[in-house]
Amino acid sequence: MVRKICCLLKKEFSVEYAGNRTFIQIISLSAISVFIASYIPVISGFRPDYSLIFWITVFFTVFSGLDKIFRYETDRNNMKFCLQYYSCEEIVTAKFIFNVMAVMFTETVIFLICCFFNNFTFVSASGSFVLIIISSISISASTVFSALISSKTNTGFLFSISALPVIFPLLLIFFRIDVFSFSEVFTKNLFLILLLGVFYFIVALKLSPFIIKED
Amino acid sequence: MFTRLRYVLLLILFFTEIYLCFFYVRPVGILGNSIRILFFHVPAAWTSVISFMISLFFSLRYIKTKNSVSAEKAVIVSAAGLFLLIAASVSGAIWAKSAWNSFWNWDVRQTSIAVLILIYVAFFSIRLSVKNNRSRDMISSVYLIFSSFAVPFFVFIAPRQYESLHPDLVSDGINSILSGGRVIQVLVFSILYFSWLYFEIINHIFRTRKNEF
Repeated sequence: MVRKICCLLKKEFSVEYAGNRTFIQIISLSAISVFIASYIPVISGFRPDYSLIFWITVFFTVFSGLDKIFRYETDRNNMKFCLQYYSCEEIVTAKFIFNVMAVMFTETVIFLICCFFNNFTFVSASGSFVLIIISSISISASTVFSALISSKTNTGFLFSISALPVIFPLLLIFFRIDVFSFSEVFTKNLFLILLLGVFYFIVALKLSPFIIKED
Repeated sequence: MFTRLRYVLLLILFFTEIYLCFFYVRPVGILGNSIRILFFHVPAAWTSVISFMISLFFSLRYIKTKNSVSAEKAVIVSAAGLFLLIAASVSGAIWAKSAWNSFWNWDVRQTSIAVLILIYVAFFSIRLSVKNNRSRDMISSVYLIFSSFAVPFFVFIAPRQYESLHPDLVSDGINSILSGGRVIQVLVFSILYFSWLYFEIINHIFRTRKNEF
């Protein structure tokens, strides 16, 4: 199973390298978003809250990028071909791991841009790193199922509609955590985020065969 | 014969409910007359949770049997649940205006209910956007199962994780309000009555739409 997932991941990166260019889009979108979101408070004479800007930019980038993860299979109609070699669980797991990497990359880019604007003043680099890893896992787990559903309906807006209610509890918890002064106080919240992510992923894994096999 | 008898009994109990809510219960403490909203707000929230659990049951049955009747029933029950959830939210907002001086306070309980409403609005958006009947039933059933798992989290777990102004029947805070005795009696009566009314209405809809399934 692990070998098959690795093959699928290799395919994802090949597709990404061949034409999708999601990662480059992520960098440009996040850089522009952070710059505009930071500059608006500066014009008004306020000091921007970079932690809030970080989370808002992450969520907007996620909403604009992650809905396309099943689009390649739907547009080219090669899901049936994939199903001959791989099980639904393997496909979803590979997509989830690719998503985690994409979100982690996004968060790192946004974090570095925010750090640059914030003069690299943060309390714990390792704490922020752990937060980025765990948040990317939970965000990916909660959006993979919504992306799967929206790929079946051929309407782009449906991803935002179906993913927002799922991602909203995470959003509420994230807004309480300061990404630049992450400390042990947030360990309980972090555990809750991870628990939610694991729960969403297990449910998505169990329900995905019914959606994937449906034409 | 028995159906008609049940309906007559429900009508009698409806007037009893109105009498108990508006005449039997006296204004309580600082809440005054606004306590009467409790007898409609709590049963609405309770029956909406029952609705979502029944929709979970029908969705699972559809997944197992692939019988479109189950999918249709799940949709009907979810629509009823969404309506009741909105009713609970509106009645709660009216109570909040008198108690907290604001219809919407971003209280954790209000926020979690708003998210639940969004989840079920999204369900109907998904259902409307799929053209193929079989796919529509399957995708909507799977989404319903996925969203039904979120219901206990938003109704029972999330509101107790954070500080809330909302009175909690489990905690001690409400005991002072309920110490009058009459309030708890009427509340239990209301919950039982509205649950029965809900099942009768759903049963009636199922029976009248039997030929359309």
